[in-house]
Amino acid sequence: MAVNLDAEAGLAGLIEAMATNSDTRALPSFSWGEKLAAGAIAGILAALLMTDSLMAYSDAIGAGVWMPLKTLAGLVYGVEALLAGALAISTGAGIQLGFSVALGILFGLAVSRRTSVILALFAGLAIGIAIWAAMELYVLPFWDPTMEARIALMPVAYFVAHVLFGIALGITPLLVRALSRRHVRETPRMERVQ
Amino acid sequence: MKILQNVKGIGQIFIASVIAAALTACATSRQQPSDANTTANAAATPAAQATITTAKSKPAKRTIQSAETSGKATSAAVLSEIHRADLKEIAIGQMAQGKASTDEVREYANQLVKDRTSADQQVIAMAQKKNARLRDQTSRLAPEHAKLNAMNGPSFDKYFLRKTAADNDKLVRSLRKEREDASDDDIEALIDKILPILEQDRQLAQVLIKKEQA
Repeated sequence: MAVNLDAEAGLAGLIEAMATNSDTRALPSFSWGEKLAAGAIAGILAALLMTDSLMAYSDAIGAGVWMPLKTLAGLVYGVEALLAGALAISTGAGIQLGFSVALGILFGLAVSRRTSVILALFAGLAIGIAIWAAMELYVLPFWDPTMEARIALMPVAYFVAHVLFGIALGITPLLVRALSRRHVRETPRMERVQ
Repeated sequence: MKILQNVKGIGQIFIASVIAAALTACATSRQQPSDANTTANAAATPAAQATITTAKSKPAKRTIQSAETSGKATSAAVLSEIHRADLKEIAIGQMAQGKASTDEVREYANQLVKDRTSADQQVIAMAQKKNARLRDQTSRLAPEHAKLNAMNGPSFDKYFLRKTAADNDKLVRSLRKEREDASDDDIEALIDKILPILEQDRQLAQVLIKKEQA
């Protein structure tokens, strides 16, 4: 009887440990909501990191703090974006944020429990560099020469901003896991066992 | 399982190759002044290049030196021309920031000041790199400033827009010619960077002139 009690206590301890440790096999796969939320957060972080770094550099070289957002609005208004003031700034911010969040969500949806953070960082980096290459080769020369002309004065900063963007996207698996852990902590243990 | 491992391996190779290709493109897509500088110093003019290959006699050395000196002088002249024009436009633009009667003209003046300030930083950096002395003749602009200062309202806007459009046009034409004649890769690269901005500023001035006329 005493042996049985010890065995029961050991089993309970084991179940408790499985419920609280980070062994992914004991946890359900990420929900769509968690992936979407994590992707959107990563997208917003990526947009902020990229835009802020470009704005700081642009201000430092005398081109003005709002230059990156104004010239991004050149995709909509052409060269006259430079005269549009606050409207151009908000349009540029909208384009940057919308694109980043959409990309972050796509990235988040591709994440699973088995995705390693290092692999995700490399994938994010590759995406950032691919976007930089696409902007340099296709988007800026044909659709936004206003931005192309001014980015030519800061090519290294523009590349670094895309690298930062990619790194921010790459942290999506960490965000999904953080959100999932919070969800697991908030869910009653019996529900998790079922 | 083996297939999964293969797919993962191919994925890693793909990512590595994308990064490598992008880094290579980054290194070559833009003409970096440092790369261009080495070639520019090696051969200042085609004449100098020919002289280097033919002989090592004293007259030949003198030819090389004179070609290099004239190349340096040309570079300094081009840089001084851009610098002077930048300072002029910055001064006029700053005046217009306070005196323009419409938001659009004020916004154009702001943009002009920012564009010319960032362009001038490049010119100053290039001059330092080439040990060229920039000639600053802003004192010659005093009568023009006085004329602009005496104006107000729409007449100021009109004069400011026409003046900056004409100045930009003049500089664009001059730089295009310099670009064709330039024997210095660094100067060519600098002109290539600055020209599109000048052309866009000229375009903006013309848009505003048309709006004013309508």
